[in-house]
Amino acid sequence: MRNIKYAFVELIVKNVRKAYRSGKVKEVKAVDSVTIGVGKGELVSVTGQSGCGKTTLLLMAGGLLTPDEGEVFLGNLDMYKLSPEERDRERAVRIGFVFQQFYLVPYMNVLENVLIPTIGSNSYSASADKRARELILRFNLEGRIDHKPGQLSTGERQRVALARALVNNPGVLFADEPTGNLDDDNAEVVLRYISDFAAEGGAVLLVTHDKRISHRAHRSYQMKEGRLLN
Amino acid sequence: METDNKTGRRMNIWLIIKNELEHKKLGFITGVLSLVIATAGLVGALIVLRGDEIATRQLFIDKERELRAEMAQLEDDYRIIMRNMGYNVLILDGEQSIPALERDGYATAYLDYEDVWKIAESGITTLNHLLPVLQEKIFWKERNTEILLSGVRGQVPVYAKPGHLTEDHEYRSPIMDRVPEGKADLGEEVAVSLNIRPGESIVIGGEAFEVNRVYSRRGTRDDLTVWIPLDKAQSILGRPGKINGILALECVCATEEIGQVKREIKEILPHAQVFEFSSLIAARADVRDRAARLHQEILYAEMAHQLQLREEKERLATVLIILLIAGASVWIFVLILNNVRERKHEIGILRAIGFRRLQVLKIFLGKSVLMGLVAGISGCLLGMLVGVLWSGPGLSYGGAESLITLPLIITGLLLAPLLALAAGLLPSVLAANQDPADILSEQ
Repeated sequence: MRNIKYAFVELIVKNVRKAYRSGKVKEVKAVDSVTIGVGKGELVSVTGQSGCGKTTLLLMAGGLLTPDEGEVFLGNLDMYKLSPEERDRERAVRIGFVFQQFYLVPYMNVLENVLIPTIGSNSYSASADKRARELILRFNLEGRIDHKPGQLSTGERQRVALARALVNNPGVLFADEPTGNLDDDNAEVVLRYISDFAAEGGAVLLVTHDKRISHRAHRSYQMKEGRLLN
Repeated sequence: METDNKTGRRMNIWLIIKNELEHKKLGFITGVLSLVIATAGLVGALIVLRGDEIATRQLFIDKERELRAEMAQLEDDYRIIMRNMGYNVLILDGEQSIPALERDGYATAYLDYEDVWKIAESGITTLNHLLPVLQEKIFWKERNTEILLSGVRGQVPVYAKPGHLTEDHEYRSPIMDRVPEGKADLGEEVAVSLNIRPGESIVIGGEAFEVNRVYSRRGTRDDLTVWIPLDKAQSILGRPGKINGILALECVCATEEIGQVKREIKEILPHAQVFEFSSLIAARADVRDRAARLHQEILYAEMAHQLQLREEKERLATVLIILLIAGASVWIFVLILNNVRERKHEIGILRAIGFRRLQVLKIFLGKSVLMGLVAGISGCLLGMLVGVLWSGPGLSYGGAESLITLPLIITGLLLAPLLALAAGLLPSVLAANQDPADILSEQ
């Protein structure tokens, strides 16, 4: 594990629990008493097999899924003390998401896809547009700026998704299996960009089943049956 | 501040709606089409019904005018028939005893000839066909028989009723023709009993006359009468400037109140009395009332028939419009619901990156309303065109501007957006309430 060089903790997930119940099926503990912190400039990875609770943890940390117990702090904000609308607003300006499936909007071009978060945060402006174009340039997508997602390779799609996650200058980036659909070369490129974000002061929580990724993380956790092992 | 990106588009909810519509044209087109059909159906039906209403109203007006003309003709015919029944008012001197009149067959108290002109020029409208008469039973010594000698002149015009008169102030349709100067008209009994024929010369009281005509038998005292010009009768009877009766026809319109004429004559000629033949007056009133009732019944029957037809059309149009609106609503509901299902992951990521529920709601409702606006304008125009083309009689009576009113246009323009909004509301709310965590954890 590499040395940690950060001044402040950006994200604290404190003793969160989440269980799923469905009819008469026995309760399944998806996440059980997990505590984790991510500082500014830090990339923290959580690895584990499919179904171990990684995505549930990430969704709770990202303010999308209310935990049964525990707290999530984004900076000084207790995310689940906020109203849903306030949480949406905080998510729009302070959090970026990258998913395995990219979830690009199929009828919008690359530039528009990158700029979509500015609609949610009502922050579209000339500077946002400039920032989007810089990200597109930085991620080597300038030749694809007017292309629709269907016209892009999978690597390009994930880079667009990453640019979209970063366009609002978030403090924290959540990545759920960001390389799951990519070949090794593209996976390496995407991981490099994610690392660069952390190197520039961002906080990254990355969940994956791919243990090879852990070599890029400042800290790496193993997760099994809803619990962190280390 | 929002600025345009390289593609010239602004980043807002409408860009998402517009791009999605371009991406899924077929759904948009079918949605718009269903709303266009509903709107055009409503607008077209309302125009056709309005055209029908105008045509029906005009038909009533035409029918009423036609019936009024027919009834006027009928009433005129009745009037002539009733007039041919003879005078129904007799004005006598106030001193005249009615029993004596009944006994003698003629009046023995006299009025001045000028009295008839006082009535004619008084402005009275309750009487027509004033006929001054000087009539007495005499022994016709030249023929050795008794006759009723009746001096008459033409009917004195009632100036307040110019419609009955010619330019020369003569009656267009006199009850009794004037006896020409130097001539005499005979009742049948007189002519037959004395074997006198038209064209023959006769002498009465030393005055010579040529027989002008012989009236056919009436079964009254007229059969025993000889009519000669009034001035000659006054001379023969030795009563210059006198008459002993004024016959008149009470106006049909004045018979609403029998007896009114008595009051009016009393004001003009205080020394006169009026004798009304009430059965004739009542018969005239009855005939007029029956004619008016028949007129109303025919008109009401026609109106009832037309209203029934109109109600049937309205019912049919209502069913059609309800079906079209219901069909369009269901189709829009299905379209938007399907759209929500298809875009589940898009909704999930938008919510994850900070889109609020209201913003997601706007995306789907905006799409519905946009469909409604496009359909509202198109459907309204199409409905107006079809409606006007199908409103033949209504169009010819009032023109297109009478069929297409501002409330109709507003109704047409609002229907589709409101319908789309209502039909799209539930699926849009479902979309806005989707839990992004559920969607994103599916991967």
